[in-house]
Amino acid sequence: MIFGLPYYLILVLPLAGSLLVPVVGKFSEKLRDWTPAIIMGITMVLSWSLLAEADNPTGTTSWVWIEYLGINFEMLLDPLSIIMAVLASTLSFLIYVYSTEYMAHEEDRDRFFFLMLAFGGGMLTLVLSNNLLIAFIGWEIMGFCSYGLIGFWNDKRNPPEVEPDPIEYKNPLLQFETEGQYNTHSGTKAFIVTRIGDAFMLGGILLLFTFTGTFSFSLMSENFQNWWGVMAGIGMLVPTFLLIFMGAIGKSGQAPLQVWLPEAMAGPTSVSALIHAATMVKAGIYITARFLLTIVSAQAVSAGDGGGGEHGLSLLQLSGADVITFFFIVVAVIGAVTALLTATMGIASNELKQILAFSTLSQLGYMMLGLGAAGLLAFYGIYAHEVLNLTELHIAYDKAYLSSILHIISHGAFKALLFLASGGVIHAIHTKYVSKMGGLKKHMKKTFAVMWIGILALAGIPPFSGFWSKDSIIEYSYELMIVEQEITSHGGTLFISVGWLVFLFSVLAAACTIFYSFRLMGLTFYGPEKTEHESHESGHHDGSDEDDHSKGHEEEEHHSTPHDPGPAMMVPLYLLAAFTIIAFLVFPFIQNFLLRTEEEWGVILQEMIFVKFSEAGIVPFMITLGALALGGIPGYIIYIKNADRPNTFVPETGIRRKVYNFLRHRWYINEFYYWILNKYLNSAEWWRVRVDNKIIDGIDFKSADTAKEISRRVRWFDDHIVDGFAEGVSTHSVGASESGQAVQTGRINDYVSVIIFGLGIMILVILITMGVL
Amino acid sequence: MQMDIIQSIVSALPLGILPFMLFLPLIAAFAVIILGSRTARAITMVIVIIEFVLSIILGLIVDPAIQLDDPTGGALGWQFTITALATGENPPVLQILLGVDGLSIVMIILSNLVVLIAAISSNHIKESKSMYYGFFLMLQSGLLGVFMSIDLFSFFVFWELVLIPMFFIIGKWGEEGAQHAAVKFVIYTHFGSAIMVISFFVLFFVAPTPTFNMVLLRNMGLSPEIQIGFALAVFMGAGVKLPVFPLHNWLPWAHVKAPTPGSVILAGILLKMGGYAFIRLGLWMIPGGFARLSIPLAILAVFTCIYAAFTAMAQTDMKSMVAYTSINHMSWVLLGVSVGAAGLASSDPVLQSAAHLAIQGAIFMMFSHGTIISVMFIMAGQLKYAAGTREITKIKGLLAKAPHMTSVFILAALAAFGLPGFSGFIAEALILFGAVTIYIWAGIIGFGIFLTVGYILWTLNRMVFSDPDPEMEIHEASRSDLIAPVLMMIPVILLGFWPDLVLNFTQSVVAFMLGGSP
Repeated sequence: MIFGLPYYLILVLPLAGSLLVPVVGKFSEKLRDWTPAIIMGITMVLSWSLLAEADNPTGTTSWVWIEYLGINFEMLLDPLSIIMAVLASTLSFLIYVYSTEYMAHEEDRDRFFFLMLAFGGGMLTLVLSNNLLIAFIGWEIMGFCSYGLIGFWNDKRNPPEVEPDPIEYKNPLLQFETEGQYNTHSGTKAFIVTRIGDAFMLGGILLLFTFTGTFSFSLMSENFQNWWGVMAGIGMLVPTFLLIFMGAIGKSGQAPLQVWLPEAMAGPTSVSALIHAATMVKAGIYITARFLLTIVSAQAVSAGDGGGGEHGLSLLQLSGADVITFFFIVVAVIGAVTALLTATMGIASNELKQILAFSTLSQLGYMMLGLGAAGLLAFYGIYAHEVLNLTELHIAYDKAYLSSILHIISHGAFKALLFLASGGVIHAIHTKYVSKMGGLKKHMKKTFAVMWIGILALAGIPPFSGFWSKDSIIEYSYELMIVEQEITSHGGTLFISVGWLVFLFSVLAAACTIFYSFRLMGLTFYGPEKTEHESHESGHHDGSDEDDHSKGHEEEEHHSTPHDPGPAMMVPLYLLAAFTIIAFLVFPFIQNFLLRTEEEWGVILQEMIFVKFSEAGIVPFMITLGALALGGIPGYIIYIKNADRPNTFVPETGIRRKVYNFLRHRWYINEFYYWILNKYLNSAEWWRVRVDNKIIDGIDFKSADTAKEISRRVRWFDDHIVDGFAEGVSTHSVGASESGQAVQTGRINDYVSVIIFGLGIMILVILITMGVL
Repeated sequence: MQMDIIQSIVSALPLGILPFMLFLPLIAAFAVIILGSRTARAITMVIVIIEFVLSIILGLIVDPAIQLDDPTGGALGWQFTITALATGENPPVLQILLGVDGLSIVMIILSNLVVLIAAISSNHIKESKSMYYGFFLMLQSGLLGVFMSIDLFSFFVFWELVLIPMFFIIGKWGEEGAQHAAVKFVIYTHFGSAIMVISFFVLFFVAPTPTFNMVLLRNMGLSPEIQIGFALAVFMGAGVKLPVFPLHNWLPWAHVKAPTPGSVILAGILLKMGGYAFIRLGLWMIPGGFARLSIPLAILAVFTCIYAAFTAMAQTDMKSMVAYTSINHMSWVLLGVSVGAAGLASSDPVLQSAAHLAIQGAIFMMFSHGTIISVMFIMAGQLKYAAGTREITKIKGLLAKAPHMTSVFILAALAAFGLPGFSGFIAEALILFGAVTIYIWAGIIGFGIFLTVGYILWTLNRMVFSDPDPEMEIHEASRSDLIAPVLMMIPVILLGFWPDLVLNFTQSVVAFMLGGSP
């Protein structure tokens, strides 16, 4: 690494530095706020310096950790890890800088910055570790930090902000008295839901360890032959990977565990940005990508080693490649379902950050989909070549994988941009609901501009970064469909054909995405200003008097008109916006780096552009454009062009209102979980009251009373009988000796007489023993 | 390098390390008495610290694998003949014969540790200090002598030497009613010792070769009848000290009435003399005899444990509750010893390894109980200064009023009922594993654990976590009062995580007992 520093510094610096944060806080508040940024800045430089050393590290990468188990602490410096590390450290750095201003007026910043820095450290630990167990530790560090950060404002005593047109929840678990309660609830929810996945994942990791005998990724691919066949043979292969994938589902908010992310918006905005853009949710994608690499590269190598001949064929049949396709089908379908499901939820959401959260979920779905498609393409490719001998069919799984990783990068940048910008908006006008916003483009011109850049990238409009990565994912899902058709037409059999479903869902999701993106912009920045008249506009008065009062009070304290934030918040935004625009110029480098190719920059760039108009690419590209028009044009007309007029798109009754409500309730999935939870709690309560309290507690109390009573009697026995006997003996012998020898003092007498008594017994005992003789 | 320095220190000591350690406190005791009250505490502190350091050094230089199979006491052995009675062919030689193995070293370290802690916590003794510290140091000599002697005669001399200073410490510096308690203490223990000493003399005459030397006696393999008789006598002597039901009634009296350091030494190390005698004179010297007493002793141990737990529950005085807890814990030692004896006699490797566990557990229990109960007694003693009473029912809301003191107290209480992470847990687990393998019904003692947890938590509930009584003044203990208990918690927690510190010493001794039964 740079200056020959040891590699582990990249993980150790942020993790150890996080512990220093509170210490620094004792000396200087200002320095404390900047500590995470400084430390992450150094880490960022170190991470960037890794780029030069991918796959051929110059220093030690392995240290003995648990000698007994032969487990090493190893660092993995392959392109994927390094790209992730660079992304995580850079975005974290920008977010930490932003936080110094954003959080400047909050209490308890020791806790905040400690958790923020540890969060980044956890992500770096995960991505750079070559040891599944240590990666899991990093994974859990993130889980804990997210819990602490989402519920960061746990002390807010005022009631939660009243949502215009709120959803009435009947479930008692969804009633919150104060904002602090809501926030901590959200943190706990995030933690618990991700923990569900983690529990499965740990099981999977241990299961994998049982068969592979190692936690190391690189050893796993090296010793591929040793465990793959065995696990496939007893049918453990898919269950194991599915268990591990459950962890990824939880962390990356894939369906059906997507419910935690929208509530995770309760935390400060910089936390949301960190969770969405740089760390946490990318962890699941990373671990899936990592396993994709481990499985696919090893499989491809072992198939290739056979020279395409008999050996490769038999290996393939033995090795359960047909089974593992099932795993990738699950990955792809879950990704596709998540992408569409959450995109539709985003259409109806009313919270600024929540819309962004849904968009994150949807984009994460795309990434999963891309990975699943890559895995499928890889195996279909082998299948087609080795079994069907379709040598002319060219299937490149690595490009699909590449587009997923590119989407991680571009999404990281534009999502950080969007969150940080919306944080500025919320900071300025003190509401999180889009229906209370409006007309901000006059006041927050800079924010408005960068927000548009982010939104266009999110919607996938060329030439912004999101277009390149998302569109190529859609393309590869189309290719998957084509390949499946090819294989079936040549007499191959597939487990199930999912290409059309994946492609359809990804296209529909793209349409939804652009619709809610425009809706977000329209409601927030266009149309009339609403903040001053919110109580009239919202048409909803219950208990809002108090709320208004506090709101008005808050506004007096701050500035009355919204304005752009200061430089520490704006500079990261400019940087991210710049990257979002020029990303396509950077992508060729990343492609070369990630796929270890050495093509000309211009060639790749040309290919990137012309593939859209090539024979294979024009169909999906046109369909995508159609989808963008399908979503974009109504979105533009309803929310931006007609922003000044009252919105009547969703009438009070009718089918549109029903659809709207269905989406508002997030397909009732979240509420369904709470309903189950509530039912469970009720039955547990019933059990407690009826059975535990009455019967089991009754037995407990009775036995405790009995024990006390017994102990009282035993004590009486001890004091009066056992001790009384001894005392009695001594009193009598004292009496006896006193009557015989009245001159002696009592004490010595006591002593002597009992000695004599003792000797007597002694002799008796000895006689008895001798008698036994 | 460090070992070189230690070796040179050891070789520079006059007489050798064992006699030096043994006689240093005795000589210092006279010096303390002569020099008067003003310097008494300072001199005592210096001596006990030197003693403690020496015992650690002893632990470092002695190879734990070394066994006492040499009648002269091995490399560190030392002998001094008092007199050889010129009667007949094999005259009784009265001599002091010292030697150590892993078991003795553990006990020596424990006694010096407990004495050190007791000396630190003697800061409330104000009255005739020179006499007090004189007796105190004499006591230390006696204790060390018991654990170092490998000769029945010198063993008995030191055994009795312990009684005299303890008698005065309880009687003179104790609370109201202490004289009675002191007399009771002496009568009970002396009753046991008398039986024991007679058995020593009988053994001398009935043994094939008349001798007091324990090693010789062990090696010559006494006939089973002699062994049983001797075992019964040892049971009387050691059973009073340990104590077992129904010989235990001196203990609550002595502990409650004694001054706090007195209670600490009593519970921390005096009781261990009983356990040590069981192992050294019983399992180690005459394994055959004890094997036959195994079942009754195990039953007695289980009964004592539960009985003491019940009695402790009904106590209202904190100190007497701790005293009964002590009986409760020491019955575990007896259980370990008795099931160990059964395993010793058996040739089944499973039972042998179970016995190995149980005996190691018994030794570990002695060490762990010595440390834990010292803290408990110091804290119970502090209550008197902090709240003016030790009545459990009268003290309320201790945690709110005196948080520092209470947190130490809570830790000690948790350790006392054997929470994992503290040394007591390891001890109980080892003994229980061994015991249930040998006698499945010995698992009944688990009920004793259950009761112990119950009454200790109940006590905490009533005293510590209850609402403070506004009329009651409770002061926080001063910093100097908390030094001793906090220091003592270090080995408690350390051994909870690293039991090998003690077990390394005991392993080979127990293996030796198991392997070398004559």
